[in-house]
Amino acid sequence: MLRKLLAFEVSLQTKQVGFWITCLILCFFGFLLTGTDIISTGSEGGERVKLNGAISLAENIGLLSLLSLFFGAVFTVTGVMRDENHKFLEIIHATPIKTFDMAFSRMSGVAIVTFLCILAGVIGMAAGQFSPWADKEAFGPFIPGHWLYSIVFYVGINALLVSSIYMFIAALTRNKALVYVSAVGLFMLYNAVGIFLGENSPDLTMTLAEPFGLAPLSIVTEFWTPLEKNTQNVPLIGYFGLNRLVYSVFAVGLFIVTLARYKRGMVQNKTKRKKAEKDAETQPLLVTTLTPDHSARADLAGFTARTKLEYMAIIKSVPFIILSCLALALFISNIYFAIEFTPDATLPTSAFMSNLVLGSFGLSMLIISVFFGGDIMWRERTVNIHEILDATPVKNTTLTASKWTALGAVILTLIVLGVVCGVAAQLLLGGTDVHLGTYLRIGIGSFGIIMLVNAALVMFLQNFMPGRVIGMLVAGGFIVGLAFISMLPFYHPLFDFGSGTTMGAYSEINGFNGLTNFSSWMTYWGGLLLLFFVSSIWLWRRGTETSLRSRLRGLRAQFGPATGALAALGLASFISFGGLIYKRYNVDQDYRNSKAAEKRIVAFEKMVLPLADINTPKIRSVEADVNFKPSKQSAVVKGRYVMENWHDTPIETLYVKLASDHPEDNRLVEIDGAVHDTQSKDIEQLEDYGYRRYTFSPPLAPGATTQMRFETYFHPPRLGDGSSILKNGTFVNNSDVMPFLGIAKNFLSDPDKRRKFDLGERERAPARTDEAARQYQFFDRSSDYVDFQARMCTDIGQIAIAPGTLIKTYEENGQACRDYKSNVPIANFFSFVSQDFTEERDIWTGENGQSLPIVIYYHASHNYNVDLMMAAAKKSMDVFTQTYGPYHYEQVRIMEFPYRSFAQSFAGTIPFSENIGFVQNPGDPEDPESVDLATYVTMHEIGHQWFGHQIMPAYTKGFNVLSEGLTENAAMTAYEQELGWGKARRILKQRSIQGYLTGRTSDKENEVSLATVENKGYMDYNKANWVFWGLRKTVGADIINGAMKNLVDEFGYSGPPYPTSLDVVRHLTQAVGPEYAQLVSDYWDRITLWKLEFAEEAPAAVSETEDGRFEVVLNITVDKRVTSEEDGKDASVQDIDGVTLDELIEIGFYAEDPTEALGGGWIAKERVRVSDVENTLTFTLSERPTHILLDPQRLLIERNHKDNLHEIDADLAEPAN
Amino acid sequence: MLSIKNISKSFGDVKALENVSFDLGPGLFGLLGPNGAGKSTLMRTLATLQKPDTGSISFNGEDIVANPDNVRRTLGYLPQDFGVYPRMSAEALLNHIGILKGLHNKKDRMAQVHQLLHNVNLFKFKTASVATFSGGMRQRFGVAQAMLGDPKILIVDEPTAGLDPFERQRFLDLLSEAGEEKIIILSTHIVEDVRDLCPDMAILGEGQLVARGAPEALIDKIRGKVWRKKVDKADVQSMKDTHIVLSTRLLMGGVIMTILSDNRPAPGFELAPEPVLEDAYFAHLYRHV
Repeated sequence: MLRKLLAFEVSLQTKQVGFWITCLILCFFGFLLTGTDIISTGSEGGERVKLNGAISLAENIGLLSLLSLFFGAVFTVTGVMRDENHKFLEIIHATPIKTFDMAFSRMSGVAIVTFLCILAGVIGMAAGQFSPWADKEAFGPFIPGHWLYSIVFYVGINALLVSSIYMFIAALTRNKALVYVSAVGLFMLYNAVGIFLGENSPDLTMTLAEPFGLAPLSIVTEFWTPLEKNTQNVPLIGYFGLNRLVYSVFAVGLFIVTLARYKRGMVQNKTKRKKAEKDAETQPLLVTTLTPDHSARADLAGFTARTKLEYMAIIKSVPFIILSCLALALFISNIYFAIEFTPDATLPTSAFMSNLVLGSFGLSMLIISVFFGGDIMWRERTVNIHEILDATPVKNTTLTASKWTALGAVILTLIVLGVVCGVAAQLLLGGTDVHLGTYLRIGIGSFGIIMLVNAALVMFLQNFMPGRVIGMLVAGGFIVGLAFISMLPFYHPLFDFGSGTTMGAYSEINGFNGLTNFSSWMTYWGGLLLLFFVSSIWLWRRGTETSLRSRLRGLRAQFGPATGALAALGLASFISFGGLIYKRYNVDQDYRNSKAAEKRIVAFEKMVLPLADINTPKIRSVEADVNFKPSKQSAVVKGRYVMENWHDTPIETLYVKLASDHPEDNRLVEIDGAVHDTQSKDIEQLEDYGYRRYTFSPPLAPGATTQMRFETYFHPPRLGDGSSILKNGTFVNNSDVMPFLGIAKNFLSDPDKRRKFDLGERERAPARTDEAARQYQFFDRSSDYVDFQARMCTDIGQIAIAPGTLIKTYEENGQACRDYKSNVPIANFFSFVSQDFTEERDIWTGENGQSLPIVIYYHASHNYNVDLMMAAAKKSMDVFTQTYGPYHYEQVRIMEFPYRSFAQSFAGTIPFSENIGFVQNPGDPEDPESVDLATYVTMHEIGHQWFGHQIMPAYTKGFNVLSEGLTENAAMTAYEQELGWGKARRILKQRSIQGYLTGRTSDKENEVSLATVENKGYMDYNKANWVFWGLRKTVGADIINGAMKNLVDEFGYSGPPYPTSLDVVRHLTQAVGPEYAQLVSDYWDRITLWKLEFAEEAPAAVSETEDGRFEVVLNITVDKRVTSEEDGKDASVQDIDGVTLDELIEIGFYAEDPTEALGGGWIAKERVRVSDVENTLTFTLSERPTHILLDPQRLLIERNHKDNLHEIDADLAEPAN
Repeated sequence: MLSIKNISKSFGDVKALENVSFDLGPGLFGLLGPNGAGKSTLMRTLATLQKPDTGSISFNGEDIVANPDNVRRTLGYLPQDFGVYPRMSAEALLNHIGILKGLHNKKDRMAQVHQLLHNVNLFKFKTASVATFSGGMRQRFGVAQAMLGDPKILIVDEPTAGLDPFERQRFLDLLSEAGEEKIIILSTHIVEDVRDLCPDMAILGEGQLVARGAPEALIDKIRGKVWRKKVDKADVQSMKDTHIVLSTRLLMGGVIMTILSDNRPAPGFELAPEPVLEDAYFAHLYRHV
């Protein structure tokens, strides 16, 4: 019987169209995932991490199984709640089928079809490999075991888990809405765990909190190399296995509980039915004559009553309350994460909090739109009151308008709720001023409007759908699909429903930056929405004949003058603004979607590659005349370059990249002795890329100089063509506003893309020994150091800032002008800034008597960290002048700028974005948990004044380590001096260790040694910082920084040939001496990873000696592995010729668990040199240790440091005999 | 005056209404017919919820198919089956429907709502959720909502189905009090509903109007032709094969058979002295008149 029932269930479920549609969609999704580059989940495909490697499969199949959250809920409702749905319950439940058999078969049926649907997705993924669009290099060999592993541990367990949870809720509540809401809840739980996933969250908690097994997967495989990811399944012993075990037991348990609680029969309705009263007598059914009014006033009353009814029905409904609570829960967890968990947290300013709270509410708002859109549109039909209502004289317009309005009001209610929560949270957190206007602007401009636009789409779609649930699925699918639409090859934002309906990024300095685009796009989509609205009125479901066909048949009768006028208005705005947008984007400019832009870069590379490396003069001096009109958001930048042919041969041709993309805005580009080539065959194509060719006649002789004069106009923002001149807070650099000499090789660098376009391997940086290459520094090929002077004018009320010493401040032609002139030549890399600034001034005086002003220019309300940054600036000046030699400019300026999240160092001037530093929470200076980015970034940028500006690296392999890596060393040195070991150690963990170990797992190219890396952040900043930390702690900070001073002395302001990483390693090796030469080489010339562990047998024993001291005997293993730069395989040094194991190891002894203190607080720290893998070491300490930590300061590059800690078992710590 | 002319309506191959025509004046009009005869289709069509495929309906000369809004202003409709918004009290729901019917003066509207609640004897449940009402209470609520705004046309579709005799009677009493200047159309498959109430009626069978007139007039047509006899069960089939059997009714081991015939159909049949409406209904429905 049971078998028959089960077979019946499965066949019933699989006969549903929904099942097959779900299978098809998932299969297609799986196919897109592996077979095309349309969908990517962030699980790197490509040459190194194979899409069908063990971990990629686990990640993608795991994510796929997560989708069961949505369709599983539907299957549950159709499966175990079927009888309720079809009012069949009383009949079925009265048959002699055993309750157990009925329940078990139904529940298993749901679990099985859920499993089958996910499996369909997996099959799609497997088929993807054979797709003609598949990148063959992205696949390794097909290994059935990897697939099976993920199918069992993700598809199997998660299908059971998801269906068990839903069936439990369904059986318990028999409430469909609650099943759907719990789907959302589970999804949000997964999201919340995802937010917390990071190095700072406890692994065990994350493992246990995340039901679907993706969190432990990412915890365990976080530092796995591509090779490991491709070939090894995640081990079952450990977090992953624990998670899967816990949740399969939970799933089975829930299944059994549900089975036991499964009841037949009618559910007791809580509300009692009213008993008919027996004694009442009817009275004459006579009503006072009341003439109904059908004026506009009645329509308005109807509209108000309808809107109120719809609105209250939603607001009071359980799903709404639950979804709001979920949004709130997400907000609280986001705050907790963003404020408490993040060591370098942002201050809870109004802008930050409003984005945080409304971002947390966003998902709920979308779900509420989709769910309640369906609810509203089908409300009368769902409760079966439509015949009564539709026979009343209420107008379709009233019904449509009230329903649309009600959903809009619900969205706005959530926004208001969000704002209230955000304000409350901001007040609770304290320390910042509440700006209600900011909340409202972001609430409407960034979230409200686009949410309303989406809600309107939902309402429109529902009007044409054959049923409520189908409508919800279609609307949900539509909104999700929009997220992927930009990946389509023929993408244009005109097709991307709702694109451009946010006002852009928001800054407390400059407000929204996208208002110009917004107004046109809003009119365009608003027109469409108006058409949607009017057609919804015309095709309203009224009465009992509501098929779309019959509604279309009655369409003509619905036309009226008012709706007709509205439709005409909508159509006119839609078409006229659609046309306008098309004209602005595609006619006035060359709009390209991302695919087309890629193709253009490819074509550009093919065209200019033969032209790129010709000899180019170098700029010797720059004069700039910069005129900003912030109120109009326009500018005119004039200037003059003096350039010299420094080559031994004459120069005939010079390429110039123009400053503006609009040919007519490049008002003047004039080179003495050269003519603009307008005749050559390829010139049109070249100019299309923004370049011009100038021909010297006669050729520019070796050593000769010439001049270039230019003037460029920068227009105010236009539709689809913004302006980098802001009303308040402009920051541009010379490459934004001035012509560039030569051809910049801005080619595709992603190896997968290059393979796709048959471009061959990207051009590598030259070898470090290439003397010709050393003639060029890393900023550009057309300058060494330049003499610099600038005149800058801007609106009165703003301050215009350029590098150089301020010569003069004056007003001219109603503008505020300043003249600057640099006292020494600077890099040909400078910025122009203009903003309504507040100034903080101080004078720094160095040991050598040097004295100069430090000025911080900031937005008036962003004064939180200005003192701290000033102190950091002065401290860095102290440390760096003492350590690396003098500072050469006559001032330090730090200028805040809006929107972005970086700081950049130019000669003596440092633009510093509002989002880091100025509104950062620096934390308690005593608290080693927090990271003070305001201080650190200030120190880093000032460090660049030496590394990057005083020494400019040659553009050869390893170049950016000399800029960023050496600067990190400088910043870390100053930071540790200012704030101590604990705070520095935290930065190391936060920025460097984590960055390097995860960065190397996702590099699409093979990892190389630090000394030869080409511009990769995880190396230039992170590994370099780690290596310098190791060097300073092992050899001594003075020695290491002494070596860096020698480097500065040798190359500072020297011009070509520029230094390379060979020079860094040379100075380091000289400074550290032979004892540490191998360490330097392990750090710099190889990919070295150490591995320290306690032995399994007798890891540590402590015994008290007769003199009251403690003898500690440790058994540890030490290995050093080197990763091949060719194939990514690593091998122990014991198996490699020419490298030996001879390592200096630190061991820390503690009286308490040092994990929190990141290894700080030792009672003793010993150093030993070991040359064997297995070592027995003996130490005598004056205090009894409870914990022993190998390499407590993390001087060695090691992936898993967690097993370096040993806690001494108190029982075994008895005195040895 | 409601005038229905030649309306037809098909759902796929099924002809729900076929060329139905009749005129109606004020008063209670009974529309009698078996299940599936097209009563609800006709009622919904009159209530502007669907349109006929062909034919026209006019009210006081105004075409209500083309301009449904006009008749909706004077329409009260009680559908055969209806639900209500959850957690909404009788008073609030009447109030809401009242607004939609154009009663936007709050004071007047509330007065009428209360009056109707009194009329249908639900006043003391005015704050109770309508969703919790018993079947009879719900139907009375249905009448109250239909009566809101004092409609000129009241359409009630099978209102007594599923009601117990007490509730049914009370419901019919309510209707009969509803006022004589209104056009009230009551559809039902229960003959007694019409017999007790309606001065005018029509019979609908398989989508066609088979009879129209006062109940008495319909009965008159078969007066003197209706014969009854208690027969054996075994004889029923043979009688049906040879005679026009209007109805059979089991009675204490035998079957009371009613036959329409100009002459005594068989020995033992007695002429029914006073034919009932039920006899007339079947006689018309089976087209024997």
